[in-house]
Amino acid sequence: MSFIAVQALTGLAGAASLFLVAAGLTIVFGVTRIVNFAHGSLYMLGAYVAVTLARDWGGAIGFWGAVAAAALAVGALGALVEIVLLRRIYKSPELFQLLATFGLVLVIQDITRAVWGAENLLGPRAPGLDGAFALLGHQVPEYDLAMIAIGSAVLGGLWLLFHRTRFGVLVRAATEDREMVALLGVDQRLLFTAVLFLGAALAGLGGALQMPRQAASLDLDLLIIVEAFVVVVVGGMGSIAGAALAAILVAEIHAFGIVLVPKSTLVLIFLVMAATLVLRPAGLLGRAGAESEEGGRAPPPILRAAHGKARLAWPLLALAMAVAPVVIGEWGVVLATEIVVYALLAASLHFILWGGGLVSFGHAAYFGLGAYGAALAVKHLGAGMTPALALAPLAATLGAAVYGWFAVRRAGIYMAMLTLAFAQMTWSAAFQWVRMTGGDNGILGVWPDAWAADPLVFYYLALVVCGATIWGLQRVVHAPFGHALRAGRDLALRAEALGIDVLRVRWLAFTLAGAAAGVAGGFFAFAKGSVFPNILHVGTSLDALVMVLMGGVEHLAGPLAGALSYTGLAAELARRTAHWQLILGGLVIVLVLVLPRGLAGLAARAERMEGEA
Amino acid sequence: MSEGDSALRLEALEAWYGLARVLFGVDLALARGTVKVLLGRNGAGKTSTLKAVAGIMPRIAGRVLVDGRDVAGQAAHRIARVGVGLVPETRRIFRGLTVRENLEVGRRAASAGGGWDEARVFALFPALETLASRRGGQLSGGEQQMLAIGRTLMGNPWLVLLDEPAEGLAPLVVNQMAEAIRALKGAGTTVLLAEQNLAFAGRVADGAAVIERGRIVYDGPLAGLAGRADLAGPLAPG
Repeated sequence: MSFIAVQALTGLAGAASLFLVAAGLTIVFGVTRIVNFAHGSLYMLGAYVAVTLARDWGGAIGFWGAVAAAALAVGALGALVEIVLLRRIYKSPELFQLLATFGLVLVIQDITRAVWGAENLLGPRAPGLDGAFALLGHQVPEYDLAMIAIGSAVLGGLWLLFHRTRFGVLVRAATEDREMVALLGVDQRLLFTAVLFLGAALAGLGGALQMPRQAASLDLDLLIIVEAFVVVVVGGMGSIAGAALAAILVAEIHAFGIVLVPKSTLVLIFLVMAATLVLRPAGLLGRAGAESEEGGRAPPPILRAAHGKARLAWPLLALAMAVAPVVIGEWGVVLATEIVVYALLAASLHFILWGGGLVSFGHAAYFGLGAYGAALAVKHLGAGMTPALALAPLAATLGAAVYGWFAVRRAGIYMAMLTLAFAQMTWSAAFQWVRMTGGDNGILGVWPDAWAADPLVFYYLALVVCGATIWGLQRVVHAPFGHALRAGRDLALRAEALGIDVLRVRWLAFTLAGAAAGVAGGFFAFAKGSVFPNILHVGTSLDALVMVLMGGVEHLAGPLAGALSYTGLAAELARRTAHWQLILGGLVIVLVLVLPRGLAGLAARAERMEGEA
Repeated sequence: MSEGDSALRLEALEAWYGLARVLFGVDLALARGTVKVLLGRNGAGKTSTLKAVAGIMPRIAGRVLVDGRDVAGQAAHRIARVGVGLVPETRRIFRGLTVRENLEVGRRAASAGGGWDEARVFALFPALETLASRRGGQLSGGEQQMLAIGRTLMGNPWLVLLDEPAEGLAPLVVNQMAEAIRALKGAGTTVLLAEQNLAFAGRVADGAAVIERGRIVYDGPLAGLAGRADLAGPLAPG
């Protein structure tokens, strides 16, 4: 009994920080309708800034001064991000907004590494709260009580802010109907900047408060954002009380799960999220319909319609890839193999992104499951290359079928958050399940059979199998199933009225895309001879997304061209600079800023200009 | 009428939704302190005209002179601050906010304002006072319409754009709307009223304009419409 009470207290302390972050995320989303992937980065910055301030200026401003200053500094950065970046993309397609904020994640992480180094930073303890007290025979850190008090105070303060101040009322009104607020004479720009300040300051505060409990490290950004996503999905996007409730739920699962069934907390959290999605799709306290599809209009296309040239480019590209080894050297063949594999990965994402309008930020999961499926078959079953390659898509299909079943239930940004969360869970599983996967050390010695050991032979094998899979995906898009999928993408309600089971079609498409990514993953494992957890990391998902967007057309030639240019670019960048994240992230942001409506918008503008001229 | 005398003057106003053009050169003028009704059937361009003035059409061309100043292309909140208030047809009440909070969002002191505040809005629509702490989503259609008008008045506009305020309301509430419009006029406010119902228009308007397929086809006294069989088609006799 006493154990339960103490453990519950620990959970509540953990919930405080998580609540601050999730509340900030949900407030910012409510008004801007942007899911800020960089919100976790702000949390991370809060931790770093607080540790630095407490260490260097702790004498002058004290521990709590450092916490407050860090929160304010991060809030100011959030306001700056709104003015410089977000303000320009409020009307962009969701995918571009997500990409831009994700570019920010990469940029902030690289800058943080440059400023603070790769080592973890331990912060000081809070003066006067550095001890523990005895509760029912157990030791409880005093600081945990402070966390609970601060978390409750912030929850109460936010309630007062939103219900007792004009600013709060305006924010709530803007969350419902931004245009009407403008019609009543309210300058939204000020409101939005203020909201970003508030949201970012909450994230910064959450990070700063963790200083005595957890070292500042470079992986905090994605760890916390995934948890925050889980919290807002479970609690209901836009609901602060829901964020508080879900934060407590998730934190308690961590607190108890880690004691009762070590290393399975992720599974428990996954189950809670899954149950919420099935039983209360809008979240515990979320309002249904908050994400309704916009008045039955089709979303603006993200990719440009492919004209005759693109159709011609496809066989030409295939031909070029077939004769390429003649021209390029041995290193070139290895790179070309990688390009072929990435082309299939990008094509499989393109298939659901364009065909189904399904925004996946976790496509790495199925690529990685394929790679791990093949590698585990070799390592634990002693399988040869052929059965291992066959097993790869099976593992990926299984993963995609399970994850997809939940993910396709929520459209747009919710899907992006869910797919990312699922992929990160898979990543941590590969990371933590050392006995099976070797953890960080990965699985080595995944080499092709003797007959395919020559890189050139393996290249042609990959080209034929991956090429055939891409071609198959293209056929599916133009088959009746593909038509149903696209109908569901454009006007889901009407497609339903026509008798199409939209959810089922989406789920099948998602699973099929996962299977195709798994094929690519299997070849990737054998091409590299090894598999490491980072193949499952969100970086791989982002790579695939950028490839699709660089290709930029509604035709499977697009991803092929995208993979070609992107893999080449990344290889060059990695060779020349250690700051590839900064450059890649910056590139993504600039792309979104320069082409706020995407490549399709550029094409449309060019066509309109031609038409008017 | 010279430019300076008009509270609102539209010159060759055009508007588009995406590629679809909905206004084809609307010319219209409103004298200060008058109530003009803009008549037309569904899809004729009434709402688009009001939206274009308020600054929420995606794309417009032409001039929108408010008190002699061209506000075309300006942000909606700037136009609102000049003293233009739009009461949209769908009312757009903030459903999660209470009646009082809805009014608070609209509150804005204006230099040339009519001295509107919560107390005066409650005096105009007594029903709202008893509902002050009820959420907007729980109001009836008539109550929402009162709240929408009251909320706009809280910003002390001197030009009010009313989009079909009587639509779908019970006769008793329609009477209240007519009274409210007359009260506005009495306070010196200029009103542009988009309406399909000729009878309702007749009770409140000084002048009328008829819009058809995005063009003004009649502009003059209400009485002048009586003999115009060519215009009777679009209008419901009410």
